[in-house]
Order: sequence, then C-alpha cells, then structure tokens
Amino acid sequence: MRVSTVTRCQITRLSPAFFAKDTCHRNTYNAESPPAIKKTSSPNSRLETSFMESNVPPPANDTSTCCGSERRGLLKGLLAGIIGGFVALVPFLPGLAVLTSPLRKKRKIGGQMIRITTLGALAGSNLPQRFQVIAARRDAWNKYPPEPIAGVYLTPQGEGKPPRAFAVTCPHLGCAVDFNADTGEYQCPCHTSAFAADGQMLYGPSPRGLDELAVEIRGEDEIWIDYKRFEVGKSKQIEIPS
Amino acid sequence: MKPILDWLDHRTGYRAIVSESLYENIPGGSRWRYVWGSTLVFVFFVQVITGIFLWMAYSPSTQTAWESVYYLEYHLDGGWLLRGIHHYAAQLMMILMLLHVLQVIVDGAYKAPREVNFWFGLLLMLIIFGLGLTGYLLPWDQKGYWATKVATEIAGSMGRELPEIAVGGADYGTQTLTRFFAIHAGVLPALLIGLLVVHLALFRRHGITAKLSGRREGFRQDFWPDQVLKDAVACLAVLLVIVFLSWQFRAELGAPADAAENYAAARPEWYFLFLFQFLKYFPGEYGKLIGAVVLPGLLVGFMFLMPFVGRSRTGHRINIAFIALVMVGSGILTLLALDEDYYAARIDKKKIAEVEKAFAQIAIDLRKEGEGSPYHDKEQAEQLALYAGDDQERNDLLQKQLFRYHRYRTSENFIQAVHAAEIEAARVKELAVEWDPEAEAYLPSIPPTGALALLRADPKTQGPKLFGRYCASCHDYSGPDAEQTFASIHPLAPKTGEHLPNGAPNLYRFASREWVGGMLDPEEVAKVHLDRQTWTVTDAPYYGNTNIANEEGGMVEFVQSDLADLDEEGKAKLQSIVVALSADARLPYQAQVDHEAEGAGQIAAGRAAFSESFDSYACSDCHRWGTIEDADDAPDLTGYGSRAWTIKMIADPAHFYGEHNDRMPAFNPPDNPAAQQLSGKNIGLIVDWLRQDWPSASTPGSSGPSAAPEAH
Repeated sequence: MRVSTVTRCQITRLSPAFFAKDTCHRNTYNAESPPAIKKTSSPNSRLETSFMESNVPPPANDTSTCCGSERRGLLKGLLAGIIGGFVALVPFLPGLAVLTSPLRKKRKIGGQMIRITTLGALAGSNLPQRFQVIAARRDAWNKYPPEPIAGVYLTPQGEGKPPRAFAVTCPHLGCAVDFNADTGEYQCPCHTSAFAADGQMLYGPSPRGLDELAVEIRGEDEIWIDYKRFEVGKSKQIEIPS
Repeated sequence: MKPILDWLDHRTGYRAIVSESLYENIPGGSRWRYVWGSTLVFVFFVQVITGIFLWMAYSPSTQTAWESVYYLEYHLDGGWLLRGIHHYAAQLMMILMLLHVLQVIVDGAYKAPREVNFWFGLLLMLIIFGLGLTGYLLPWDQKGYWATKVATEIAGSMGRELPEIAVGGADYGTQTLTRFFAIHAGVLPALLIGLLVVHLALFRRHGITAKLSGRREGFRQDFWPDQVLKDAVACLAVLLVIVFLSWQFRAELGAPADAAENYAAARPEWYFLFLFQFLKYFPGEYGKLIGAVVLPGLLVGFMFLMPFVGRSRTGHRINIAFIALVMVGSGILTLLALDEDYYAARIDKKKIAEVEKAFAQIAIDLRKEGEGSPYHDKEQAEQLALYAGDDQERNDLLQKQLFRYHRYRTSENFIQAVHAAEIEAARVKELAVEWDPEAEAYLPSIPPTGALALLRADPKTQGPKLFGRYCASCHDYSGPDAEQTFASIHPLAPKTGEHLPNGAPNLYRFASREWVGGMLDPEEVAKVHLDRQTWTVTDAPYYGNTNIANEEGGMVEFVQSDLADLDEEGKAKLQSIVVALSADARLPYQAQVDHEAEGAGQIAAGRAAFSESFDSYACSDCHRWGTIEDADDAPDLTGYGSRAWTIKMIADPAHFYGEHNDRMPAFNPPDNPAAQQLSGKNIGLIVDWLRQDWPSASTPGSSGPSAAPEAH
C-alpha cells in the first residue's frame, strides 16, 4: 500500500508543533512493541487504515500510551537527524581544510631586493622605461628558475641620481598601467585611471597614486629595487605578504 | 513561520515531496537488512563531495598529475585525509555494491515487476567498475600507470581504435590523463546520477521487497524515522571504517609513472585481481579477448537475463547458484592471485632446498666447463634430469620441486619489486622538497619538468640500477659485513642473474681512506679468494683478479716488497700518502676528516712523501700527481677517485692505464661515439653514487625528508 495523499497529520509530525500538541497518532512502531491504535484515531490516515486492516494481535500487556510511542518516534527522528547530519558533514571537512590551506600559510612582510638593470640602460632619456622583474619563484609544488614575474617602470631623475621606480600595477583593480609618452601620463587600460610621471594620481577611479618601490644603487651602476606588492583598491598602501 | 511555509508549499509543493520521500511505507517495518542500498548512496555522496574538492587540487598532465597529488597529500592541510577518504570509500563502495547485488538476487528482488530496476542496477554496477578503473590512473604513479595500461591493452583486443580513443593516441600521455579525468569526474558520475535517480524512483514505485512472515505480516511502518535512523547508523559505521582506514593506512602514492622503468609490482586494485588472475589461464592472441571480454561479457549478459530465468522457482535457484558460483570463483581467483604473489613469503624453503642445491651445482659446472658442460644450453627440467642421472626417485623429487621453485622465484621478484618501489616512492618525496632558509622550512621544489626528472637525475636510486646493469658482472660492491652484499644493500638493482663478480675491484667506498689504505697494504693488495669448490671469486677487493695484479714489476709487487716490513717512520709516511691521496677524491662523506687532515698538515706531508723512496722506489718514480710530474709510466693520480677522474676512468680507462688496462671497457670513448655504452649523464650518476654524493636530509641546503612539515 502506498501513500498517495499527504495528510496534515503527517506533515505536522515534522513541525515543532508536534512537540507540543498531540495532534495525531503515530502510525509507526517498532516490531517489538506493536501499537495500541484504536480505530478512532485519525481516520484520515490511510496508513493507519492499512494497519487496522492488518491482523496484528493486540499486545498482551500494552503499557505504552500514545504519547510514549510518540516520544520514542521523536527521539528516533532527532537521532536520525543528528547522525545523518553528521555523516553528511564529515566529507566536507577535509575538503574545506584543503581549500583554506593557503590562508594558513606562513608568509612574510618585506620585499625582495632584485637587480633590474644598470644606470647606463637609462641614459639618454628622461622618460619612464619599463623593465622586467626577474626572479625565481615557487608556485604550488613547482620551483621555477629565474624568469620574469612582473614589470616595473624606472624614471630617470637626472645624471648621477638613482631613478624612481613604480610598480606597473594599477592601485584601482590591478591592471597593468602603460606610460604614454605623448601625454606624459601613466594610463590604466581598464578603467582609465591616469597618473603623472611622478606617480601622482591624476584622474579616474584609482584610490591612490602608483606604488613607488625603493631603489638602491649597488656597485658602480647596478639598479636594484625592493620588490613588493600592495593590496589594490585601498587608499593606503598595504603590503601583501609573500 | 507557518504562512511562509504555506506560501512556499503552494509554489513548490515541497511538503508532498518531503512526505513522499520520508513517509514511504515499509511493509513489515524497518529492518537492518534494508540499509545496504542507503549506505551505497551515502558512499557515492562521499565520493562526489571529496571528488569535487580533489578536483580543485588535481592537475591532469604528465608533468603535473603526480605532482599535484603529491602536493595535496603532503603540503595541503587535510589533503591526506581528503584523498584517503576518496581512496577507501571507492573500495568500500565495491564491497557494499557486491552485498547489495547479492541481496537483490538472493531475495529475488529482480523478479517482476522490478526487472527494469534490476537492469538499472546492473548498469550502475558497470559504471562503478568504470570509476574504479579510471580513477586508478589519475595519480600517475607507477602502480596506476602500469596496471591501467594492461586494462587498455585488453580493450585493444577488440580493435586498436578503442584504446587509442581512450588513451588519446598510440601511447600514454597527457591526453590520456585529460580523457580519463573527464570520464572519471564528469561522464561516469553524470551517468551514475542519472541512472541512480531512475533506480531510486523505480525502487519507490515498487517498494521494498519484503519477506513477511510471523508478526511482520501486515505490520507497516514509515521510512521516517525508524528506517532513516537505521540507515543513518549504518552510514555512520561505514564512515568510521573509511576514516579509520584513511588515518591508519595512508593512501599510497608510488613513484611517478615512468614508461622506461619496468614495474614488476604492477597489480590492479584488489577488486580487479580476480580478472587479473583469470587472464593467466588464457594464453595466446585471443586469450585476453576470451578471458577479459567474452567471458565476463557473457557473465554480465546472463545477469541481465536473470529476471527471465528466475520466473520459476528452479530458475530463481539457478540464479542464486550462478551468482554464488561467480562470487566463490572470483574469491578463489583473488586468493590465488595473492597467493602467487606472496608465495615466497610463506613457503618453507625446505620444500625447494633440493632443487636449489641442484641448480647451484649445475651453475658451478657451467662456470667451470663453459660450453663443454653437459648442462649447457638446456632447459631447466632437462638439466635436472641430467643432474639426477639414473636416480628416478630423485628426478621425480626435483621435477616436483622445480614447479615450486618457479613459483618461488616469480613471487620473490614481485616482493622485491614492491620493496624497490617503496624505496623509490620514498626517495622521490625526499627529492621533491628543498630547504628554504628564508621560510625556514622544507618547501616543495619540483622543477617544471616534473618529479620524474628529479628521480632520473638522482644518483642514490639510479646508481645501483646502472651499476647492476653495467658493472656488477665484474665488479663487486659490498661492505665489510656479510649482509652488506650488493643485492641486499640495493634492492633497486636489477636482478640480472646471479651476482657473481668475477674479480674486478670491489668498489665499495672506492678511494676512501680505507680503500686507498687497503690498496697499499701488502696483506690486502692482491687478495683474491677463489673458491675452488664453487668456482667463484669470493673476494677480490683491490687489484683482484686482474692483469695488473699479476704484472711483473707492477704495483702489487711494489706493495708486497717495498711496503712490507715498514718501520714506524715508514708506516707514518705511507699513512700520510694514503690520507693525501684519498683527500684528492674530495669524497663528500669524508669532507670533515679531510678538512682536519689539511689543517694538521697531513696532506702537505703526504705530498712530500709521494716523492720520497720507500725501499727502492718512490710513488713519483712511476706516477704523476698534480704538480709532481717526474714520471708518466703508471696512471696519473691527479684527482684520483674524484668525480672527474672516475668519470674519465669509466669513459676511457686507457687514458689512465694505457696498454696495462685489463678488461675494463671504455664505456664512452671520446674518439669513438659509436662505441658509447653509457651516456656521460649515466656515467655521472654511477660515479656520484659510488662517491655517495647525493642530496640527502643530512646535507643542509639540499633536499630534506618529505616528512618535514611545511611551515604554515
């Protein structure tokens, strides 16, 4: 016999109302304590009708009341819910641990000194020039030999002076800016932020000017920069630990 | 709350759905025996969840598959557990599925009106097998690689096109991984979900196949909460088993797949072992077709017919008998497969003692007589018959033992291969990390070319293999202790017959102080122990059994005359030469004592002593050594035993020994590239291994143990 209609009674068994009110009789029993259901109970339930049609003999010494069996059913339901919820949750746990692994990785603040070029390479022009930042890097399980990892603009400051260095990352949303020699501005190709040659914010949505990186002259004329990355979208510079 | 739920119910009818699913009526009430289907669905759910997370870490290509699994397993929090659960849940799924199928057949749940549902169940079973097969390859380790290769070759018995489509070409490669991954994580799960929905819907339509008797007669119960509780408890038990297994027995990750390295330990996952064993009985071109396609196909085909066969009482019994036969048969085949593999571990060696003795004697005779031996060029059975002579009883015994002996050797090879595979797997994980001084941790540092490149460039594991293949037929490599034989020190060495070095120097710690000291020790220098009984050279540590040892006026004669009976001063002089000469090898394991000797002035003293006469001659009367260039008759000792010297010695021994060179081949003669037997790279690996010059945990700045936790 299948249940084709849903009775109100069955639904309320799931609801909190069931805790408080004895709105309907249980129609489930374990085999060990057969029910003491009378015909009068819940005539709408076809389940119970089917039970009534059965030939189960009434228990010899039935002490269970309707509410006792109800409580048992409730307890079972609660237990089933708790255990079921637990077993369904467990497979997610190691997965979430894996997923959030990067957040727990030990990282450090403080840049990395990287040699970019020589002063000689900048001679003959006062315009910013783009150079590659070349460094070894790790990515997941790989360690790569030194290769370009980013770009940097070096702006000559006149003979004998170290250039200024600007990260190419637009502080708005991280696109790479280009220096436009015609206008003398750094322009972001994404949301048209523009910056002056000295990195100052000119117009557009960027919350701050270009990020300047510290420059050091080593030896005769080697240009080294302190390579760092900063969070975008903030009006203050906040370094991203690496 | 209620109005909102009413609103929702009106729009979605969710109450009916919930009710439908929870208040399914179970005739006879809830029972523990109904939990199997639910546990199976649960395990599939676990696989989907863990599989999606694994997907986020996995990278299917030949240079990244193994590496990404390694990274997950050893460097991401909880990765080992995630993979462990997926690994063991897959195996438990097989067991639960078998139980489910058995139950369905025994209870006759396949009969009308449930035939269609039974067929859906069989299709689900095939999909689960497919998931097991495709998943085994994905870590791209030796085990999965070689075992899956067999499976696709089986598919090849139905035509070349099938495996080529599956594999994405004639050979295994990145296309194989991308395809298998898509099949494993996309195609099959989607099919499975689709079929499972139908399977469950049909199950609900027909209800449970209850056996009603006694007081269960007429008794009915809803699915909720009694059966749900039982199901939940069963799922909890299954989950506990899975987590326990993942925690206690970490999911294995072997060495990265290498098409060039034989892998004798390749076996399919245990649930396919029966098929693996079955195939042993089907030889010939069509054997695999019959054994792995036709017969299993007929078997599954019969299962599809079961609903029709089972219409009568007898038919049902036939079905039960059939499935029992298949189960018992598969069980026996699985046990046989395991027994054959681990035969050597359990056999009493007395049972093959006679035949081992016979073969030892036959081998001696073959060594002694060569082609003149009656055993030459004969089958083993024939050799034994010859050996037994007229003694029929003895021959019978030997022939009987021969069968066991073959099984023993096969099994021994397998066990050794498993051991060697474990060593390589552990080693590659050592090589995969580097100490990072900034992070103060071991960080994964696999080159972009993949982890296999690390292993192939590793002297510690490649050295013994190459030495076994190219050097061990003449040279010994064994330590002072009896158990330090080449084979026992280096299970990675290929077993090319018996290791019977025939008298070339023992290269164990070649050029170390002990070694150089022994070479200049009149007692030791020409020691050759020939065992006349077994016709073997048992010990030939330095000049051994070579021409150089026997030469008139040669080195051995000098050592035995000039260096015998030295006074205290002479002994000290000799010792300083030993120290200085050995220091020239720049052996990494001797760096500390060499450094101390340098500080103590011993090396300078040794250099000076090199030109001083002992009784009649000084070393410099024959040898050149660095700036000491008085003579040029004997090998140039500049950098003796150093990496460059030893490489040159292997590549072109005549460079040092000229016409005095005995049988040492030039493995890479500079003037004749066509005669090259070993590449410069491989010679370098042998030399680095001899010099024990490999990155290890104890070498700061190089690789460290994979066990070292990465800092977080």
